[in-house]
Amino acid sequence: MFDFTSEQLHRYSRHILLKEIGVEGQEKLCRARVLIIGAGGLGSPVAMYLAAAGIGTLGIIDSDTVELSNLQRQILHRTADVDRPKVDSALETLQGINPEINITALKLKFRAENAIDVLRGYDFVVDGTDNFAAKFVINDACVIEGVPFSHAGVVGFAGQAMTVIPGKSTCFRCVFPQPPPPGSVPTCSQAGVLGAAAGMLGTIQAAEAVKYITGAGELLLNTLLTFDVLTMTFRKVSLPRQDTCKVCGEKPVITEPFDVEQEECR
Amino acid sequence: MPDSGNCQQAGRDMADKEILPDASRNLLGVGCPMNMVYAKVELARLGSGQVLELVLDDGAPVSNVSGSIQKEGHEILAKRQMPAGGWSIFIRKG
Repeated sequence: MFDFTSEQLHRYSRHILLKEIGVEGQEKLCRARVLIIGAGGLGSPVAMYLAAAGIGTLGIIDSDTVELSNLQRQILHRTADVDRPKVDSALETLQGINPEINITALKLKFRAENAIDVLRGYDFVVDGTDNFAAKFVINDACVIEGVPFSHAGVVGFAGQAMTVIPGKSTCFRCVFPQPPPPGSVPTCSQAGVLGAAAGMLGTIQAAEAVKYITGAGELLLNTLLTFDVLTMTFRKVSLPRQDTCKVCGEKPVITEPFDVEQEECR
Repeated sequence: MPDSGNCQQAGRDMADKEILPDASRNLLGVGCPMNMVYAKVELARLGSGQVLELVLDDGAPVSNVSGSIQKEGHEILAKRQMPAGGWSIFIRKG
């Protein structure tokens, strides 16, 4: 059995008290390895909640530096962090929240060429990116490597999330066979995004990661959760797995991740 | 004490029976909810069917911890009021 110190028992007491998590669930959290792709509007709350939850190893990958326009929603970063690499300020914030976890910060763009190497060894991946191109790379790499992940996307006041267990549940490519043509979909830099909407969604992703690791409750499998903050409407849409899916179907034709050209969002 | 009647009843029922716990923890002076956290740690170390004895303060501690433990699927075998104050409760792990 994991030997919690008295300090750890206090730190994690509100999780341990939950019947669905308990001592055993907290042990699983403390041993888990989670990769967060993107230290932005989604990645911020995800990383902060997962660090606070005591996830044993937290990987965070982002190639960007902090911009003033990020601060409205990317709560990992402070005003004094502008122009610093996001992974540096993320590391500082996360260590401040929980100094006892291992944090691997990679100042790197998650791309097809490094995707498999980066995510290998992680138990769960959180997609905190803001563009379709990256979402397809993450989906394909996770499906090929068999790593469960949380998909999410946020634009304006609207968000969506789905959890994928490769080989068992609907993958992102089952729902969207290919990325939309460049320029056809607004990214958040073009369309604006409510900071709190990104926060809500990232919090949902953090909860899904904790649920996956501890086995608590039911995951958003084969289900796309969508919400509109303006009306506070939440919907769940059932989305069955597709036998014809190019990456997780019966005859997969995608056997390694590949990049597609897409206008990127900052 | 909301459930003191039941406690005393249980205590009387079990008074003449010797219960030998597999583990015991004195939680006098440990407030809510940390007393429940320590109780869960002790229970996690035991196997199903084994018995844990906890010593808890009067009032909210004994009442809350007993209730929470039952909600988590464990059985309270006995509650005994201690002469010097506090309660000794015997729990069979579910």
